[in-house]
Amino acid sequence: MQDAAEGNATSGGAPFLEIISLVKSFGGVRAVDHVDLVLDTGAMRCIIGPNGCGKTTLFNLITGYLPPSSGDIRYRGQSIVGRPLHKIAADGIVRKFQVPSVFPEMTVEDNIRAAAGVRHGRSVASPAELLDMVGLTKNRRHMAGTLSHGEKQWLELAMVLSTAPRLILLDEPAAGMTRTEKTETVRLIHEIRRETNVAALVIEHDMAFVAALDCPISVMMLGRIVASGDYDTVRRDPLVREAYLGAVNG
Amino acid sequence: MKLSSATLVGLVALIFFVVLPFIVSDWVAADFGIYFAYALFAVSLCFVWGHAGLLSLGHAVYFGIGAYAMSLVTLGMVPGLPELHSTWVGLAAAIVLSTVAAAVVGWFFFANRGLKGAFLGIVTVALAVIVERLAINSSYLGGMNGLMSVPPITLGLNGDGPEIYDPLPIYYIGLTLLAVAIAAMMRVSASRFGVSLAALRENELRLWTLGHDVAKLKIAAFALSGGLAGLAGAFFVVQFGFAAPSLIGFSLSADVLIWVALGGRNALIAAALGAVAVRFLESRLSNLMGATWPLVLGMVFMASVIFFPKGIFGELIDRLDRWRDRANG
Repeated sequence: MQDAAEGNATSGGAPFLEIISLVKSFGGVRAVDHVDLVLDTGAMRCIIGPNGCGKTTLFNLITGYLPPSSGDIRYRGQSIVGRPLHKIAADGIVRKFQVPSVFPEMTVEDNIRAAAGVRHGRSVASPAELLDMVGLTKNRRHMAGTLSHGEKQWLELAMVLSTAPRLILLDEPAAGMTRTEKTETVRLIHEIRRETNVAALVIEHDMAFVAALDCPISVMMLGRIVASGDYDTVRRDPLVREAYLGAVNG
Repeated sequence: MKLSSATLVGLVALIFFVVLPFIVSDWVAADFGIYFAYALFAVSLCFVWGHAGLLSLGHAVYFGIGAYAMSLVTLGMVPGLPELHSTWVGLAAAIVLSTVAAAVVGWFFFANRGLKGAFLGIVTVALAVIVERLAINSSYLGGMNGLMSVPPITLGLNGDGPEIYDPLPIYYIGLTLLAVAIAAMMRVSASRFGVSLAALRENELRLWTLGHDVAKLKIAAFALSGGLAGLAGAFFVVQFGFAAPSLIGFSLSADVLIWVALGGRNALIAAALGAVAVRFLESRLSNLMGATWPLVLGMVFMASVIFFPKGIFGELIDRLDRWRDRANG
Protein backbone atom coordinates (compact mmCIF):
# COMPACT_ATOMS: atom_id res chain seq x y z
CA MET A 1 0.00 0.00 0.00
CA GLN A 2 1.22 3.49 -0.79
CA ASP A 3 1.80 6.11 1.85
CA ALA A 4 -1.41 8.09 2.27
CA ALA A 5 0.32 10.57 4.57
CA GLU A 6 3.01 11.54 2.09
CA GLY A 7 3.69 15.26 2.05
CA ASN A 8 2.97 15.56 5.76
CA ALA A 9 6.10 17.54 6.44
CA THR A 10 5.30 21.13 7.27
CA SER A 11 7.26 24.14 6.22
CA GLY A 12 9.39 26.09 8.66
CA GLY A 13 9.30 23.37 11.30
CA ALA A 14 5.75 24.23 12.39
CA PRO A 15 3.90 21.41 14.17
CA PHE A 16 1.68 19.21 12.00
CA LEU A 17 -1.37 20.13 14.09
CA GLU A 18 -1.32 22.83 16.73
CA ILE A 19 -4.37 23.80 18.75
CA ILE A 20 -3.81 27.09 20.55
CA SER A 21 -5.96 28.23 23.47
CA LEU A 22 -9.12 27.02 21.74
CA VAL A 23 -12.44 28.07 23.24
CA LYS A 24 -16.00 27.17 22.25
CA SER A 25 -18.89 28.57 24.23
CA PHE A 26 -22.56 27.70 23.88
CA GLY A 27 -24.35 30.53 25.65
CA GLY A 28 -22.85 30.56 29.13
CA VAL A 29 -21.34 27.07 28.85
CA ARG A 30 -17.72 26.64 27.76
CA ALA A 31 -17.69 23.26 26.06
CA VAL A 32 -14.04 23.70 25.10
CA ASP A 33 -12.06 25.92 27.45
CA HIS A 34 -8.60 27.09 26.39
CA VAL A 35 -7.43 23.77 24.99
CA ASP A 36 -3.84 23.53 23.79
CA LEU A 37 -2.67 20.46 21.92
CA VAL A 38 0.15 19.58 19.53
CA LEU A 39 0.29 16.55 17.27
CA ASP A 40 3.32 15.60 15.21
CA THR A 41 3.28 14.17 11.71
CA GLY A 42 2.14 10.56 11.81
CA ALA A 43 1.54 10.63 15.57
CA MET A 44 -1.49 9.26 17.41
CA ARG A 45 -3.10 10.60 20.58
CA CYS A 46 -6.13 9.43 22.51
CA ILE A 47 -8.50 11.90 24.09
CA ILE A 48 -10.47 10.52 27.01
CA GLY A 49 -12.88 12.08 29.44
CA PRO A 50 -16.39 11.73 30.82
CA ASN A 51 -19.48 12.36 28.69
CA GLY A 52 -20.04 16.04 28.01
CA CYS A 53 -16.43 17.03 28.69
CA GLY A 54 -16.00 18.56 25.21
CA LYS A 55 -14.22 15.82 23.26
CA THR A 56 -16.64 15.68 20.34
CA THR A 57 -16.96 19.48 20.34
CA LEU A 58 -13.17 19.61 19.95
CA PHE A 59 -13.49 17.34 16.88
CA ASN A 60 -16.28 19.56 15.56
CA LEU A 61 -13.97 22.56 15.85
CA ILE A 62 -10.97 20.87 14.20
CA THR A 63 -13.06 19.67 11.25
CA GLY A 64 -14.70 23.08 10.78
CA TYR A 65 -18.20 21.86 11.64
CA LEU A 66 -18.33 24.52 14.35
CA PRO A 67 -16.45 27.83 14.48
CA PRO A 68 -14.42 28.41 17.65
CA SER A 69 -15.29 31.30 19.95
CA SER A 70 -11.59 32.12 20.21
CA GLY A 71 -8.17 30.54 19.79
CA ASP A 72 -6.58 29.03 16.72
CA ILE A 73 -6.14 25.69 14.95
CA ARG A 74 -2.99 25.53 12.85
CA TYR A 75 -2.58 22.65 10.43
CA ARG A 76 0.69 22.21 8.56
CA GLY A 77 1.70 25.74 9.51
CA GLN A 78 -1.55 27.50 8.52
CA SER A 79 -4.65 28.50 10.42
CA ILE A 80 -7.70 26.53 9.29
CA VAL A 81 -10.23 28.46 11.38
CA GLY A 82 -13.03 29.73 9.18
CA ARG A 83 -12.25 27.41 6.28
CA PRO A 84 -15.23 25.52 4.84
CA LEU A 85 -15.72 22.04 6.22
CA HIS A 86 -15.22 20.27 2.89
CA LYS A 87 -11.99 22.14 2.20
CA ILE A 88 -10.55 21.10 5.55
CA ALA A 89 -11.49 17.49 4.72
CA ALA A 90 -10.11 17.77 1.20
CA ASP A 91 -6.86 19.03 2.68
CA GLY A 92 -6.55 15.80 4.66
CA ILE A 93 -8.37 16.13 8.00
CA VAL A 94 -11.12 13.52 7.84
CA ARG A 95 -13.36 12.33 10.59
CA LYS A 96 -15.10 9.09 11.54
CA PHE A 97 -18.31 9.75 13.42
CA GLN A 98 -19.29 8.11 16.69
CA VAL A 99 -22.44 6.58 15.19
CA PRO A 100 -21.35 4.78 12.01
CA SER A 101 -22.06 7.20 9.20
CA VAL A 102 -22.29 5.37 5.91
CA PHE A 103 -24.57 5.48 2.84
CA PRO A 104 -27.04 2.72 3.79
CA GLU A 105 -28.90 2.27 0.48
CA MET A 106 -25.68 1.97 -1.51
CA THR A 107 -23.39 -1.03 -1.90
CA VAL A 108 -20.27 -1.27 0.21
CA GLU A 109 -18.23 -0.81 -2.97
CA ASP A 110 -20.13 2.35 -3.94
CA ASN A 111 -19.70 3.72 -0.41
CA ILE A 112 -15.94 3.65 -1.01
CA ARG A 113 -16.32 5.06 -4.55
CA ALA A 114 -18.42 7.96 -3.29
CA ALA A 115 -16.03 8.64 -0.43
CA ALA A 116 -12.92 8.59 -2.62
CA GLY A 117 -13.90 11.54 -4.77
CA VAL A 118 -11.54 14.16 -3.37
CA ARG A 119 -7.85 13.47 -2.82
CA HIS A 120 -6.01 16.43 -4.30
CA GLY A 121 -3.39 14.22 -5.88
CA ARG A 122 -2.56 12.28 -2.72
CA SER A 123 -2.06 8.61 -3.40
CA VAL A 124 -4.09 5.98 -1.65
CA ALA A 125 -4.79 2.28 -1.65
CA SER A 126 -7.34 1.04 -4.18
CA PRO A 127 -10.94 0.45 -3.01
CA ALA A 128 -10.31 -3.31 -3.29
CA GLU A 129 -7.23 -3.03 -1.05
CA LEU A 130 -9.13 -0.92 1.47
CA LEU A 131 -12.03 -3.37 1.59
CA ASP A 132 -9.55 -6.19 2.03
CA MET A 133 -7.86 -4.30 4.85
CA VAL A 134 -11.11 -3.89 6.80
CA GLY A 135 -12.26 -7.42 5.97
CA LEU A 136 -15.30 -6.44 3.90
CA THR A 137 -14.31 -7.85 0.50
CA LYS A 138 -16.98 -10.55 0.74
CA ASN A 139 -19.61 -7.89 1.50
CA ARG A 140 -18.67 -5.52 -1.31
CA ARG A 141 -21.94 -6.00 -3.22
CA HIS A 142 -24.12 -5.83 -0.10
CA MET A 143 -26.05 -2.74 0.84
CA ALA A 144 -24.16 -0.89 3.57
CA GLY A 145 -27.35 -0.69 5.63
CA THR A 146 -27.41 -4.48 5.97
CA LEU A 147 -23.96 -4.68 7.62
CA SER A 148 -23.56 -5.32 11.34
CA HIS A 149 -22.70 -2.38 13.59
CA GLY A 150 -19.04 -3.33 13.75
CA GLU A 151 -18.82 -3.81 9.99
CA LYS A 152 -20.33 -0.38 9.46
CA GLN A 153 -17.66 1.10 11.74
CA TRP A 154 -14.96 -0.61 9.64
CA LEU A 155 -16.59 0.46 6.39
CA GLU A 156 -16.60 4.06 7.57
CA LEU A 157 -12.94 3.70 8.48
CA ALA A 158 -12.22 2.46 4.94
CA MET A 159 -14.24 5.38 3.53
CA VAL A 160 -12.17 7.82 5.56
CA LEU A 161 -8.94 6.17 4.38
CA SER A 162 -10.08 6.27 0.75
CA THR A 163 -9.76 10.08 0.84
CA ALA A 164 -5.99 9.73 1.47
CA PRO A 165 -6.17 11.63 4.77
CA ARG A 166 -3.18 13.09 6.56
CA LEU A 167 -5.01 13.19 9.89
CA ILE A 168 -7.92 11.00 10.93
CA LEU A 169 -10.22 11.88 13.81
CA LEU A 170 -11.81 8.74 15.21
CA ASP A 171 -14.77 9.42 17.48
CA GLU A 172 -15.26 6.30 19.60
CA PRO A 173 -14.27 3.86 16.84
CA ALA A 174 -15.09 0.86 19.05
CA ALA A 175 -18.45 2.12 20.35
CA GLY A 176 -21.05 -0.63 20.42
CA MET A 177 -18.59 -3.33 19.36
CA THR A 178 -18.18 -6.79 20.82
CA ARG A 179 -14.90 -7.66 22.54
CA THR A 180 -13.71 -9.55 19.45
CA GLU A 181 -14.59 -6.63 17.19
CA LYS A 182 -12.73 -4.25 19.50
CA THR A 183 -9.61 -6.42 19.33
CA GLU A 184 -9.90 -6.46 15.56
CA THR A 185 -10.34 -2.67 15.49
CA VAL A 186 -7.17 -2.16 17.54
CA ARG A 187 -5.30 -4.41 15.11
CA LEU A 188 -6.80 -2.47 12.20
CA ILE A 189 -5.79 0.93 13.58
CA HIS A 190 -2.22 -0.30 14.17
CA GLU A 191 -2.12 -1.73 10.63
CA ILE A 192 -3.46 1.51 9.12
CA ARG A 193 -0.83 3.58 10.91
CA ARG A 194 1.95 1.15 9.99
CA GLU A 195 0.91 1.13 6.32
CA THR A 196 0.01 4.80 5.84
CA ASN A 197 1.76 6.79 8.59
CA VAL A 198 -1.47 8.78 8.94
CA ALA A 199 -1.73 10.87 12.12
CA ALA A 200 -4.70 10.14 14.38
CA LEU A 201 -6.69 11.64 17.20
CA VAL A 202 -8.90 9.07 18.90
CA ILE A 203 -11.77 9.70 21.31
CA GLU A 204 -12.56 6.61 23.33
CA HIS A 205 -14.18 5.59 26.61
CA ASP A 206 -13.06 1.98 26.79
CA MET A 207 -9.80 2.09 28.78
CA ALA A 208 -8.75 -1.40 27.69
CA PHE A 209 -9.09 -0.23 24.09
CA VAL A 210 -7.12 2.94 24.86
CA ALA A 211 -4.37 0.92 26.57
CA ALA A 212 -4.16 -1.38 23.55
CA LEU A 213 -3.69 1.57 21.20
CA ASP A 214 -0.51 2.32 23.16
CA CYS A 215 -0.23 6.04 22.46
CA PRO A 216 -0.09 9.31 24.45
CA ILE A 217 -3.34 10.30 26.13
CA SER A 218 -4.92 13.65 26.93
CA VAL A 219 -7.67 13.74 29.53
CA MET A 220 -10.46 16.29 29.17
CA MET A 221 -12.75 17.44 31.94
CA LEU A 222 -15.24 20.31 31.77
CA GLY A 223 -13.79 21.45 28.47
CA ARG A 224 -10.14 21.54 29.62
CA ILE A 225 -7.24 19.19 29.18
CA VAL A 226 -6.36 18.31 32.76
CA ALA A 227 -3.72 15.65 32.27
CA SER A 228 -1.53 14.25 29.54
CA GLY A 229 0.94 11.41 29.27
CA ASP A 230 1.15 7.72 28.56
CA TYR A 231 -1.47 5.29 29.83
CA ASP A 232 0.27 4.52 33.14
CA THR A 233 0.97 8.19 33.91
CA VAL A 234 -2.61 9.18 33.20
CA ARG A 235 -3.93 6.23 35.14
CA ARG A 236 -1.94 7.28 38.24
CA ASP A 237 -3.12 10.91 38.11
CA PRO A 238 -5.30 11.38 41.22
CA LEU A 239 -7.63 13.85 39.53
CA VAL A 240 -8.17 11.49 36.63
CA ARG A 241 -8.72 8.53 38.94
CA GLU A 242 -11.30 10.41 40.93
CA ALA A 243 -13.13 12.01 38.05
CA TYR A 244 -12.98 9.43 35.34
CA LEU A 245 -10.96 6.26 35.64
CA GLY A 246 -12.07 5.70 39.19
CA ALA A 247 -15.66 5.91 38.14
CA VAL A 248 -15.12 3.63 35.16
CA ASN A 249 -12.86 1.04 36.70
CA GLY A 250 -14.26 1.09 40.18
CA MET B 1 -22.34 -9.05 -18.05
CA LYS B 2 -25.35 -9.16 -15.75
CA LEU B 3 -27.96 -6.57 -16.66
CA SER B 4 -29.70 -4.72 -13.84
CA SER B 5 -33.41 -5.30 -13.38
CA ALA B 6 -34.05 -1.66 -14.34
CA THR B 7 -32.20 -2.22 -17.63
CA LEU B 8 -34.17 -5.41 -18.28
CA VAL B 9 -37.48 -3.63 -17.68
CA GLY B 10 -36.24 -0.81 -19.91
CA LEU B 11 -35.37 -3.19 -22.74
CA VAL B 12 -38.74 -4.94 -22.52
CA ALA B 13 -40.47 -1.56 -22.56
CA LEU B 14 -38.37 -0.47 -25.53
CA ILE B 15 -39.35 -3.55 -27.54
CA PHE B 16 -42.98 -3.00 -26.60
CA PHE B 17 -42.91 0.63 -27.73
CA VAL B 18 -41.03 -0.18 -30.95
CA VAL B 19 -43.81 -2.61 -31.87
CA LEU B 20 -46.75 -0.56 -30.55
CA PRO B 21 -47.34 1.63 -33.66
CA PHE B 22 -47.93 -1.54 -35.70
CA ILE B 23 -50.81 -2.38 -33.37
CA VAL B 24 -52.46 0.97 -32.70
CA SER B 25 -53.70 3.72 -35.00
CA ASP B 26 -51.58 6.72 -36.04
CA TRP B 27 -53.83 8.86 -33.88
CA VAL B 28 -52.85 6.90 -30.78
CA ALA B 29 -49.19 6.94 -31.87
CA ALA B 30 -49.39 10.75 -32.08
CA ASP B 31 -50.55 10.82 -28.45
CA PHE B 32 -47.57 8.72 -27.48
CA GLY B 33 -45.20 11.26 -29.08
CA ILE B 34 -46.47 13.74 -26.49
CA TYR B 35 -46.27 11.15 -23.72
CA PHE B 36 -42.60 10.55 -24.55
CA ALA B 37 -41.93 14.27 -24.07
CA TYR B 38 -43.61 14.03 -20.67
CA ALA B 39 -41.63 10.87 -19.90
CA LEU B 40 -38.40 12.72 -20.70
CA PHE B 41 -39.54 15.42 -18.30
CA ALA B 42 -40.25 12.76 -15.64
CA VAL B 43 -36.74 11.34 -16.14
CA SER B 44 -35.26 14.78 -15.48
CA LEU B 45 -37.18 15.11 -12.19
CA CYS B 46 -36.41 11.51 -11.22
CA PHE B 47 -32.69 12.20 -11.60
CA VAL B 48 -32.68 15.20 -9.32
CA TRP B 49 -35.28 13.95 -6.84
CA GLY B 50 -34.99 10.17 -6.85
CA HIS B 51 -31.28 9.88 -7.45
CA ALA B 52 -29.85 13.01 -5.79
CA GLY B 53 -32.61 13.47 -3.19
CA LEU B 54 -33.36 17.10 -4.11
CA LEU B 55 -37.11 17.64 -4.10
CA SER B 56 -38.01 20.15 -6.80
CA LEU B 57 -41.68 21.06 -6.73
CA GLY B 58 -41.30 23.61 -9.50
CA HIS B 59 -39.61 21.59 -12.19
CA ALA B 60 -41.97 22.77 -14.93
CA VAL B 61 -40.02 26.03 -14.92
CA TYR B 62 -37.24 24.34 -16.92
CA PHE B 63 -39.70 22.41 -19.12
CA GLY B 64 -41.47 25.69 -19.84
CA ILE B 65 -38.23 27.54 -20.58
CA GLY B 66 -37.40 24.83 -23.12
CA ALA B 67 -40.85 25.08 -24.69
CA TYR B 68 -40.81 28.88 -24.87
CA ALA B 69 -37.21 29.00 -26.15
CA MET B 70 -38.02 26.59 -28.98
CA SER B 71 -41.20 28.53 -29.77
CA LEU B 72 -39.53 31.95 -29.82
CA VAL B 73 -36.74 30.77 -32.10
CA THR B 74 -38.87 28.83 -34.58
CA LEU B 75 -41.48 31.63 -34.70
CA GLY B 76 -38.73 34.13 -35.58
CA MET B 77 -39.28 36.11 -32.37
CA VAL B 78 -35.68 36.36 -31.18
CA PRO B 79 -35.00 40.10 -30.81
CA GLY B 80 -32.74 41.32 -33.60
CA LEU B 81 -32.92 38.00 -35.45
CA PRO B 82 -36.34 37.94 -37.17
CA GLU B 83 -35.01 35.69 -39.94
CA LEU B 84 -34.03 32.95 -37.50
CA HIS B 85 -36.45 30.00 -37.56
CA SER B 86 -34.13 27.03 -37.05
CA THR B 87 -35.41 24.01 -35.12
CA TRP B 88 -31.78 23.17 -34.35
CA VAL B 89 -31.02 26.60 -32.89
CA GLY B 90 -34.31 26.37 -31.00
CA LEU B 91 -33.27 23.01 -29.60
CA ALA B 92 -29.86 24.34 -28.56
CA ALA B 93 -31.45 27.46 -27.03
CA ALA B 94 -33.96 25.32 -25.12
CA ILE B 95 -31.27 23.10 -23.64
CA VAL B 96 -28.78 25.89 -22.90
CA LEU B 97 -31.30 28.32 -21.40
CA SER B 98 -32.96 25.70 -19.21
CA THR B 99 -29.56 24.42 -18.06
CA VAL B 100 -28.35 27.93 -17.23
CA ALA B 101 -31.64 28.78 -15.49
CA ALA B 102 -31.44 25.62 -13.37
CA ALA B 103 -27.77 26.31 -12.56
CA VAL B 104 -28.57 29.87 -11.47
CA VAL B 105 -31.54 28.71 -9.40
CA GLY B 106 -29.35 25.92 -7.96
CA TRP B 107 -26.61 28.40 -7.11
CA PHE B 108 -29.15 30.65 -5.40
CA PHE B 109 -30.59 27.72 -3.41
CA PHE B 110 -27.44 25.84 -2.50
CA ALA B 111 -24.32 28.04 -2.56
CA ASN B 112 -23.66 29.04 1.06
CA ARG B 113 -27.28 28.28 1.95
CA GLY B 114 -27.80 24.56 1.88
CA LEU B 115 -31.54 24.70 1.31
CA LYS B 116 -32.97 21.20 1.58
CA GLY B 117 -35.98 19.01 2.35
CA ALA B 118 -39.35 20.68 2.77
CA PHE B 119 -37.78 24.15 2.62
CA LEU B 120 -36.35 23.41 -0.81
CA GLY B 121 -39.76 22.09 -1.87
CA ILE B 122 -41.56 25.24 -0.68
CA VAL B 123 -39.11 27.59 -2.40
CA THR B 124 -39.31 25.66 -5.67
CA VAL B 125 -43.12 25.83 -5.57
CA ALA B 126 -42.88 29.58 -5.07
CA LEU B 127 -40.48 29.80 -8.00
CA ALA B 128 -42.93 27.99 -10.30
CA VAL B 129 -45.80 30.26 -9.25
CA ILE B 130 -43.69 33.39 -9.78
CA VAL B 131 -42.41 32.30 -13.19
CA GLU B 132 -45.93 31.35 -14.30
CA ARG B 133 -47.17 34.82 -13.27
CA LEU B 134 -44.29 36.42 -15.16
CA ALA B 135 -45.20 34.43 -18.28
CA ILE B 136 -48.86 35.43 -17.98
CA ASN B 137 -47.92 39.10 -17.64
CA SER B 138 -45.39 39.11 -20.47
CA SER B 139 -46.82 40.40 -23.74
CA TYR B 140 -43.66 39.21 -25.50
CA LEU B 141 -44.48 35.64 -24.44
CA GLY B 142 -48.09 36.05 -25.53
CA GLY B 143 -49.50 36.57 -22.04
CA MET B 144 -52.29 34.24 -20.97
CA ASN B 145 -52.73 32.96 -24.53
CA GLY B 146 -49.09 31.96 -24.88
CA LEU B 147 -47.34 31.47 -28.20
CA MET B 148 -49.45 29.80 -30.86
CA SER B 149 -48.74 28.14 -34.20
CA VAL B 150 -45.31 26.90 -33.20
CA PRO B 151 -43.91 25.14 -36.29
CA PRO B 152 -43.15 21.42 -36.25
CA ILE B 153 -39.61 20.04 -36.54
CA THR B 154 -37.97 21.18 -39.75
CA LEU B 155 -34.84 19.44 -40.90
CA GLY B 156 -33.24 22.41 -42.71
CA LEU B 157 -30.73 24.62 -40.99
CA ASN B 158 -33.04 27.62 -40.73
CA GLY B 159 -36.61 26.44 -40.66
CA ASP B 160 -36.52 25.32 -44.28
CA GLY B 161 -36.44 21.78 -45.65
CA PRO B 162 -38.84 18.96 -44.89
CA GLU B 163 -41.17 19.28 -41.92
CA ILE B 164 -41.82 16.36 -39.63
CA TYR B 165 -45.36 16.28 -38.39
CA ASP B 166 -46.51 12.79 -39.29
CA PRO B 167 -47.26 10.87 -36.10
CA LEU B 168 -45.04 7.88 -36.85
CA PRO B 169 -41.69 9.67 -37.38
CA ILE B 170 -42.44 11.88 -34.36
CA TYR B 171 -43.24 8.76 -32.34
CA TYR B 172 -39.91 7.14 -33.16
CA ILE B 173 -37.94 10.37 -32.68
CA GLY B 174 -39.55 10.65 -29.23
CA LEU B 175 -38.85 7.02 -28.38
CA THR B 176 -35.22 7.36 -29.51
CA LEU B 177 -34.77 10.59 -27.53
CA LEU B 178 -36.25 8.96 -24.45
CA ALA B 179 -34.23 5.74 -24.74
CA VAL B 180 -30.98 7.63 -25.34
CA ALA B 181 -31.70 10.06 -22.48
CA ILE B 182 -32.48 7.24 -20.05
CA ALA B 183 -29.38 5.27 -21.10
CA ALA B 184 -27.22 8.41 -20.81
CA MET B 185 -28.62 9.34 -17.41
CA MET B 186 -28.14 5.76 -16.20
CA ARG B 187 -24.48 6.06 -17.23
CA VAL B 188 -24.23 9.38 -15.40
CA SER B 189 -25.88 7.81 -12.32
CA ALA B 190 -23.30 5.02 -12.31
CA SER B 191 -20.35 7.39 -12.80
CA ARG B 192 -18.32 8.75 -9.88
CA PHE B 193 -20.34 11.98 -10.10
CA GLY B 194 -23.58 9.97 -10.04
CA VAL B 195 -22.44 7.84 -7.12
CA SER B 196 -21.57 11.03 -5.23
CA LEU B 197 -25.09 12.33 -5.93
CA ALA B 198 -26.61 9.13 -4.56
CA ALA B 199 -24.41 9.54 -1.49
CA LEU B 200 -25.69 13.10 -1.18
CA ARG B 201 -29.22 11.73 -1.01
CA GLU B 202 -28.20 9.16 1.60
CA ASN B 203 -26.10 11.19 4.00
CA GLU B 204 -25.18 14.74 3.08
CA LEU B 205 -23.11 15.47 6.18
CA ARG B 206 -21.00 12.35 5.69
CA LEU B 207 -20.29 13.28 2.08
CA TRP B 208 -19.48 16.84 3.04
CA THR B 209 -17.07 15.79 5.77
CA LEU B 210 -15.30 13.50 3.31
CA GLY B 211 -14.27 16.61 1.36
CA HIS B 212 -17.00 16.89 -1.28
CA ASP B 213 -18.29 20.33 -2.18
CA VAL B 214 -21.95 19.37 -1.79
CA ALA B 215 -23.21 22.74 -3.05
CA LYS B 216 -21.38 22.26 -6.35
CA LEU B 217 -22.74 18.73 -6.65
CA LYS B 218 -26.30 19.94 -6.10
CA ILE B 219 -25.94 22.79 -8.57
CA ALA B 220 -24.52 20.40 -11.19
CA ALA B 221 -27.39 17.94 -10.60
CA PHE B 222 -29.95 20.74 -10.90
CA ALA B 223 -28.35 22.07 -14.09
CA LEU B 224 -28.19 18.66 -15.74
CA SER B 225 -31.78 17.91 -14.79
CA GLY B 226 -32.92 21.36 -15.93
CA GLY B 227 -31.28 20.87 -19.33
CA LEU B 228 -33.07 17.57 -19.79
CA ALA B 229 -36.39 19.14 -18.79
CA GLY B 230 -35.72 21.91 -21.34
CA LEU B 231 -35.13 19.32 -24.05
CA ALA B 232 -38.43 17.68 -23.08
CA GLY B 233 -40.22 21.03 -23.27
CA ALA B 234 -38.77 21.74 -26.72
CA PHE B 235 -39.80 18.32 -28.02
CA PHE B 236 -43.25 18.79 -26.53
CA VAL B 237 -43.91 22.16 -28.13
CA VAL B 238 -42.90 21.15 -31.68
CA GLN B 239 -45.65 18.52 -31.47
CA PHE B 240 -48.24 20.45 -29.53
CA GLY B 241 -47.72 23.69 -31.48
CA PHE B 242 -48.57 25.87 -28.54
CA ALA B 243 -46.57 27.19 -25.55
CA ALA B 244 -48.81 28.38 -22.73
CA PRO B 245 -48.04 29.68 -19.21
CA SER B 246 -49.44 26.43 -17.79
CA LEU B 247 -46.35 24.66 -19.16
CA ILE B 248 -44.08 26.65 -16.89
CA GLY B 249 -46.09 26.69 -13.67
CA PHE B 250 -47.17 24.85 -10.60
CA SER B 251 -49.82 22.62 -12.16
CA LEU B 252 -47.46 20.76 -14.50
CA SER B 253 -44.84 20.68 -11.72
CA ALA B 254 -47.35 18.84 -9.53
CA ASP B 255 -48.31 16.54 -12.41
CA VAL B 256 -44.73 15.43 -13.05
CA LEU B 257 -44.24 14.82 -9.36
CA ILE B 258 -47.23 12.45 -9.40
CA TRP B 259 -45.98 10.63 -12.51
CA VAL B 260 -42.57 10.10 -10.94
CA ALA B 261 -43.99 9.06 -7.56
CA LEU B 262 -46.49 6.68 -9.18
CA GLY B 263 -43.95 5.20 -11.57
CA GLY B 264 -41.13 5.06 -9.06
CA ARG B 265 -38.39 7.53 -8.28
CA ASN B 266 -35.75 4.91 -7.57
CA ALA B 267 -35.27 4.11 -11.26
CA LEU B 268 -35.31 6.45 -14.25
CA ILE B 269 -37.16 3.92 -16.41
CA ALA B 270 -39.84 3.54 -13.71
CA ALA B 271 -40.44 7.30 -13.68
CA ALA B 272 -40.66 7.38 -17.49
CA LEU B 273 -43.15 4.50 -17.55
CA GLY B 274 -45.13 6.25 -14.78
CA ALA B 275 -45.50 9.35 -16.95
CA VAL B 276 -46.56 7.38 -20.03
CA ALA B 277 -48.98 5.19 -18.05
CA VAL B 278 -50.69 8.09 -16.24
CA ARG B 279 -51.03 10.19 -19.38
CA PHE B 280 -52.36 7.23 -21.36
CA LEU B 281 -54.90 6.32 -18.67
CA GLU B 282 -55.86 9.96 -18.35
CA SER B 283 -56.60 10.23 -22.07
CA ARG B 284 -58.71 7.10 -21.94
CA LEU B 285 -60.44 7.49 -18.60
CA SER B 286 -61.01 11.23 -18.54
CA ASN B 287 -63.48 10.81 -21.40
CA LEU B 288 -65.35 8.17 -19.44
CA MET B 289 -65.11 9.77 -16.04
CA GLY B 290 -65.13 13.45 -16.88
CA ALA B 291 -64.49 15.63 -13.87
CA THR B 292 -64.06 12.66 -11.53
CA TRP B 293 -60.77 11.61 -13.20
CA PRO B 294 -58.56 13.90 -11.06
CA LEU B 295 -60.28 12.42 -8.02
CA VAL B 296 -59.49 8.88 -9.16
CA LEU B 297 -55.88 9.86 -9.97
CA GLY B 298 -55.53 11.39 -6.51
CA MET B 299 -56.85 8.23 -4.87
CA VAL B 300 -54.54 6.03 -6.95
CA PHE B 301 -51.68 8.31 -5.96
CA MET B 302 -52.50 8.01 -2.26
CA ALA B 303 -52.92 4.24 -2.51
CA SER B 304 -49.60 3.99 -4.31
CA VAL B 305 -47.80 6.04 -1.65
CA ILE B 306 -49.23 3.74 1.04
CA PHE B 307 -48.96 0.35 -0.66
CA PHE B 308 -46.17 0.92 -3.19
CA PRO B 309 -43.93 3.62 -1.75
CA LYS B 310 -41.35 2.80 -4.40
CA GLY B 311 -43.93 3.41 -7.12
CA ILE B 312 -45.66 0.81 -9.27
CA PHE B 313 -42.84 0.19 -11.74
CA GLY B 314 -40.25 0.82 -9.02
CA GLU B 315 -41.86 -1.97 -7.00
CA LEU B 316 -41.86 -4.22 -10.07
CA ILE B 317 -38.12 -3.61 -10.56
CA ASP B 318 -37.47 -4.19 -6.88
CA ARG B 319 -39.38 -7.49 -6.89
CA LEU B 320 -37.60 -8.57 -10.04
CA ASP B 321 -34.30 -7.77 -8.31
CA ARG B 322 -35.19 -9.89 -5.29
CA TRP B 323 -36.47 -12.74 -7.45
CA ARG B 324 -33.27 -12.77 -9.51
CA ASP B 325 -31.17 -12.64 -6.33
CA ARG B 326 -33.03 -15.66 -4.96
CA ALA B 327 -32.78 -17.50 -8.30
CA ASN B 328 -29.00 -16.92 -8.30
CA GLY B 329 -28.73 -18.12 -4.72
